[in-house]
Amino acid sequence: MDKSKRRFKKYSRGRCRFCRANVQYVDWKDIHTLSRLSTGQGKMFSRKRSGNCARHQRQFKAAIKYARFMALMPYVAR
Amino acid sequence: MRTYEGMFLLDSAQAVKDWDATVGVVTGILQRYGAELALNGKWDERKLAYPVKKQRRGAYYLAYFHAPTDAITKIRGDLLLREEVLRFLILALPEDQPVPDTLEVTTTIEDDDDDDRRGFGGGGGRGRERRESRGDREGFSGDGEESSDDDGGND
Repeated sequence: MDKSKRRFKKYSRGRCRFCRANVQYVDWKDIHTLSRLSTGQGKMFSRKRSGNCARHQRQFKAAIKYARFMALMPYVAR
Repeated sequence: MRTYEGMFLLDSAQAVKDWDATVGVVTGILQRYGAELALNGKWDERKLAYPVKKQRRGAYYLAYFHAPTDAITKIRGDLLLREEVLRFLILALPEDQPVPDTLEVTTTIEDDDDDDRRGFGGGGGRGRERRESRGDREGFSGDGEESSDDDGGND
């Protein structure tokens, strides 16, 4: 029904969400953001799914691993 | 000298009993090897995502400090011997990144920024996955008041 609206949204977002927020370094302590970019099982979203650019997806990958080590995020959720 | 960001996961029982003494263990070690503390303080006290050294809760102490590069190995060695410190992570801050003004973490993605949760997968799998992720997210981002099954052991 509101196909046009959808298409607009798709084009308007364009860039990765960290680029849009002008983030230099993805913060590994920002659990809220990290959990928004991972599944309920604690797995990371793919680039396709998160829409991250290559640079920020690499940073996100490292960040989530630091967060897991510090028991802020689960390695596996039960 | 470089600037480091250190997060220390402290035994929550000890931290509740005597926060200053518990943190004193960490700061004592840092200062013994010539570290100058910049911004530091209690970061959070929360339920851990998984048990660490059989502890289900932990207190986080976050410190930014300047230290000689060769001191870090010694600091690590000393921290490993202390029982109060369950786990720690010391990272060198990138040269172009200044010490932040507060310990508070600024959230990049707000709750209403929900566009990327749709439009992938489609079909049957989607409904299932979304439901599953909803439930679980509340599980580990909430402050740990949910009932945890204490089966211990096989984590």
